[in-house]
Amino acid sequence: MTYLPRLTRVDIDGYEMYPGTADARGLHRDFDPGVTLVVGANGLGKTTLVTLLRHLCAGPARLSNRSSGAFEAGRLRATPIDVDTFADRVGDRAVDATARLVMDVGPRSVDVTRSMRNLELLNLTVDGVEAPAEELEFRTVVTTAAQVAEYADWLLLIDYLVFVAEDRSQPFWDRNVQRHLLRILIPDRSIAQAQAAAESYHISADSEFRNARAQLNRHKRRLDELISSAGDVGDVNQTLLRLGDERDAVNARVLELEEAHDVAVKKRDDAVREHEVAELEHQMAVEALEAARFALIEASLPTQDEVLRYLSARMATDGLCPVCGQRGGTPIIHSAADSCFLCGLHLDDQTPAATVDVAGLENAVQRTEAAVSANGDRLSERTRAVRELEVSLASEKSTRADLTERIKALRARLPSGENDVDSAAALVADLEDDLARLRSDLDSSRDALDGIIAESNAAIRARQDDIKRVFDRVATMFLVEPCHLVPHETSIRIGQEGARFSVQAFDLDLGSSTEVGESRRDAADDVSESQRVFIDIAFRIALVHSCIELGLGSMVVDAPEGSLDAVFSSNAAALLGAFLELPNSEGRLVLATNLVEGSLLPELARRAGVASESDPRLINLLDLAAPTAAVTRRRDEYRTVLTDALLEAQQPRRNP
Amino acid sequence: MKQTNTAATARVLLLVDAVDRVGIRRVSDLDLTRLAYFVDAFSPLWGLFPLDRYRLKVEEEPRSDAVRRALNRLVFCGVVQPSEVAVVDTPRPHLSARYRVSHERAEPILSAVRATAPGRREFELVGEVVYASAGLLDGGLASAVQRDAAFSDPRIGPLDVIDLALPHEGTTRAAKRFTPGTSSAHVEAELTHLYMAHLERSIGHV
Repeated sequence: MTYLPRLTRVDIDGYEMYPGTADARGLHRDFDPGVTLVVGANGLGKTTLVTLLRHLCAGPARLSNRSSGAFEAGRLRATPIDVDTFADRVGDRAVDATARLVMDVGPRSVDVTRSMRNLELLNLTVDGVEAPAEELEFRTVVTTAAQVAEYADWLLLIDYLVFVAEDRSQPFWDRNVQRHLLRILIPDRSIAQAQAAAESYHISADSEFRNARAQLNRHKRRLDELISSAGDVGDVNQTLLRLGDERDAVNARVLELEEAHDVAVKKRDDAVREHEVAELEHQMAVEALEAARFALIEASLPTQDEVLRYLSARMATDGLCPVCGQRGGTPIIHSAADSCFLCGLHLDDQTPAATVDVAGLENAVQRTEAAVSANGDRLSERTRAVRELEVSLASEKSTRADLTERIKALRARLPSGENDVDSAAALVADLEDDLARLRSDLDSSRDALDGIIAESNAAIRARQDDIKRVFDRVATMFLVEPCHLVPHETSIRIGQEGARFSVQAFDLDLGSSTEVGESRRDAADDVSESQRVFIDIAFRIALVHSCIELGLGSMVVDAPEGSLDAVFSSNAAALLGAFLELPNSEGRLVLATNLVEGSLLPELARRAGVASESDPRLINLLDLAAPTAAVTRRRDEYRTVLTDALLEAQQPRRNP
Repeated sequence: MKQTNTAATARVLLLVDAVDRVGIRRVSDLDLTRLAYFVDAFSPLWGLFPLDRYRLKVEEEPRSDAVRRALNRLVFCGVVQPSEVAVVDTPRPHLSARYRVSHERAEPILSAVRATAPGRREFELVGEVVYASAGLLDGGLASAVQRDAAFSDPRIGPLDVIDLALPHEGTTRAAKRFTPGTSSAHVEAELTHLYMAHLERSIGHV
């Protein structure tokens, strides 16, 4: 299984934004199991702290799959981030500032210290042992400890499972992010790795094919231009252009036919397999009947005792009648199976007659014979379809070869200055060959990826009920409408050539928000901003509880307090609290929120068990951060808000 | 092996029974082997498995230890009773006898054969082959075997000696080889008789 980081301690020294107090410079805090609240006013560095924690967890890189807001399909790619982020925010460019994070990743304790000037890795300690302070080492350590296939997978977990920030895409609502999360979290590591590799290969093949096609088209246009500008050579150029167009049309038909042929061959192969199975079943039925038949005959043959009795009688009489003494008569021998040969009385010790269900076996033979016949008909039909396509394909290829020969012959008639045309034509021919080969590679990579995704889908389906159960329960802590996770298969495109793959995903079935009329909502645009954020958080919690080893991990939330009303603030706090329920009771939830009036802060403080400003679970940026002008002027007002919130947190809940 | 022996025993019993029913007075063990050969050769036409797939193909004619052993077994068990036994020297020393089926002892075996559809079909096949070959049992059967579909050609496997195609596919076409001008379809029994008549004619026996 996969592991998430559990943040256990942060130390920030020498950074002007967090000067600390006279007694303790900088910002130093342990993250104990449960909730840690980060509170402050605008500009005090609440989001900066969340961002810093993110960079300490992830390293100075991000995924580059997002472009203009959408998360692109395809393999995850890591790219460097702007390392001046923290230097730009302070006057001294953070030249001496350092930040340290201690986190558990699965069985490993990772202690990482970075310069806040440029995020350079200054120290890396794993399980108390110092490791080389190199980015590659850091990536290897976290990737191995988390048991993910590659560093980009780790970045996805950090940005889309651990850190909840308003400026990032929300995994539940983004199909591509959801797909990657499920790929990383659910199937075993070998499938996840194979899928990542197969996707990468397919996208490369797709890209190579498109590039080759664009190159071919470019050279074809150049060839056409060369032919057009070759001068007056009668109507040869005109004819060459026309024949070139004809050959392009034939090429297109050949491509279509090749694709249809591939499909037909696959169907034919399926029919061959079905026919072989039917024949095997029929053969087995026939053999079973044969075996039963011979068993019946064997049972009917005279037994050893019967033969001995018969021979004894023969020897006793030797053809001589014991009564009249004459020779030549027929000895009276009672040779019936159940009677004595001499006296004819009934015998008890008889071999039981063989009991065989002959009718059943004969029915099986007839039934399987009919199946063989039906499958044979289907196979013949599909074989005929393949042959017809092969005939058409051969005909088109022959036409293409004829056209090529005619074009070649016409070009030979062009003046000697037409060498450019010849070489351009040869290049086009080579590129056409390359394109055919790349098409074949692309088809192979598509088939391979299809097979691996099918394995991955099966693994996700095996886990989907657990995820749905947790989500359905947690989501209703925030929402008043009935809300269910709907697992289903969805078709996505990987690569730009249009190859589509069926992947396992989750959708939402959310009841109407009004009591007037009935309507279902299932898209991001159908729900409010706060619903969108908290449905996404519920999905993350469901994934963590269902798919992370022991359900252990941290979640760091930059709270969207602005979009919540008084009632939903309480619900939001309940939902966030669900992250720490079993099996994640040892997990850490870091909540950063502004000092605003309303019930969110008291609710969060109540759930965090924060009773006073000196509580270690409270990171109060009013005290620790460099004050802004607004804070300097209105510090008392902010402090009152905090004091009131903490007081209210100690009162019984008004809306249980 | 046990299944093969059982099948051979039943097959030879059917042959002797058919010979008895047709009214042939005496038959040699060599002729029984030849008849068994033709039954095997016609088996694919009748949709049955040939019994002795590895029957020796020698220059003069087929030999089968299985047929001889089965006949011995049946005699030993009292199911078949030989009489008027004589030793014949040509073409090689062998026995000729009048074989009679002891119906009291044979009936359980014949009933078991007829209990299944393939068994009933085998019963019918053996009867037709013996009927169709009756005219050859006065010495012509050996020539008929040699004339049959390149019997001595080592390139032709035992299963391919006679190929008249399946009854529902090309039967008419196959039959036309023997009865030019006929347009109606033929069943397996008719083809069997037509083919044996063809062999009889081709060796100048009629």
